[in-house]
Amino acid sequence: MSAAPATSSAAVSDRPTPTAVKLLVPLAVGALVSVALGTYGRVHDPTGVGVLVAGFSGAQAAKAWMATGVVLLVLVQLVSALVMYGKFPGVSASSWTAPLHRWSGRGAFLLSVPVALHCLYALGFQSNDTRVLVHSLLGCFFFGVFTTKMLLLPQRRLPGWALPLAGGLVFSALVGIWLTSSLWFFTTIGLDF
Amino acid sequence: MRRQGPYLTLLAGVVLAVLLGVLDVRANSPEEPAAATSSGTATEAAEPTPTPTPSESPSESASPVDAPARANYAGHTEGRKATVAIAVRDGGAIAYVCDGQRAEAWLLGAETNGQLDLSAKGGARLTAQLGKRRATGTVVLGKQQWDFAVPVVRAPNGLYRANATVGGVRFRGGWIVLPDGQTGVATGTGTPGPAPTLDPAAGAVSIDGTQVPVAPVSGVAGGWL
Repeated sequence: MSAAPATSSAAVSDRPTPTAVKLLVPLAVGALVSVALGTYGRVHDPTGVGVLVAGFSGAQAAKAWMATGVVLLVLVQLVSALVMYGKFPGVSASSWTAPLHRWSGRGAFLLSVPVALHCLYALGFQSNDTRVLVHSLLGCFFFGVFTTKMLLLPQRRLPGWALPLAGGLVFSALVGIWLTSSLWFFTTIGLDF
Repeated sequence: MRRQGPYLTLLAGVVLAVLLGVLDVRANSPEEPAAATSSGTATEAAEPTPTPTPSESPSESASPVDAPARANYAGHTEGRKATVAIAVRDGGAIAYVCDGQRAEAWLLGAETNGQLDLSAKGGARLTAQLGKRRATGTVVLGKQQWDFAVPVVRAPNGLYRANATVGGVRFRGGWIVLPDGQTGVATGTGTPGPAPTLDPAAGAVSIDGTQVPVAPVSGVAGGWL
């Protein structure tokens, strides 16, 4: 990642922040994001309709395919992260691995925003069956843990486990979200566009 | 630049969400004056004789041509007090409204230029304006009145009905299946109550160990009521 030890230019005001603070502040902000999203989804009156991209038969189909796009990008994330951490024997990170990781991540995040917005605005936080409850919880969790990850990235001298843990949680949350929505949609309703 | 990257990513997400949120609110707001007018008029009239006010809304008056000949609409009423489903087919329409507890009504009527005026035996009434993507209107059930703006739905979401005799007892049920769950009311031996959970794919529910057929409703067929 860009915050790897290779970063050379030390900032002028490089006061050493305690590691706990470096970890806890992003964690707290992320938790706030999750709780705020869940509360909003629960409290506001779902409208039943929301704006989404044209060209699909319905909001559900559009969301299912956009979420699938997110998951594909996130798989790129997983592989590029493993390469950067040298987890693939014989494969070393090249100059484009980090940019690939960064930009596929940005793409995935931006693609997930309209989907999540539609979920929250049109449907809200639901708990009437297990799939929907798990999906709602993971959805709120994802944006929280993603915020945490983004806030952790610029910090220097983090414990080695911090970024892989945050990244792993982001990845797991998204896969869980996809399994409880798109996969459900494709298997119950079919591969509709 | 590098250290700001993640912040910029988050910022971009927030900006995108705000932009889309504005679009969402805009897309939904033209309906609100119409809905508010209809409820206001009917409340002042103080009688359950709602005039089809939504049709007078200027924002909708240009759109009757958008009304599809065949469509299924379903969703919650305002404030999620009840659920409503409308199935339109070639000039005829059937609607079902229920609160998932006891109150329910099946309404029938004709569709003219995207306008619906449906009624039921018990006195319930539903007026709506059909659009390409949603139906907007008012339903009066008993002493209650709800405004709604419900989207077009596709299978397995939509309206389902059961009407069968189980062990000598007539069983009637209605279900509205939505992406976020289902509501239904069923009547067996006694008074109406919440309907048992329906698996839309199964085409039946189990009542006292007997499989009762449940059919999707996508238009007015013979043998109603």
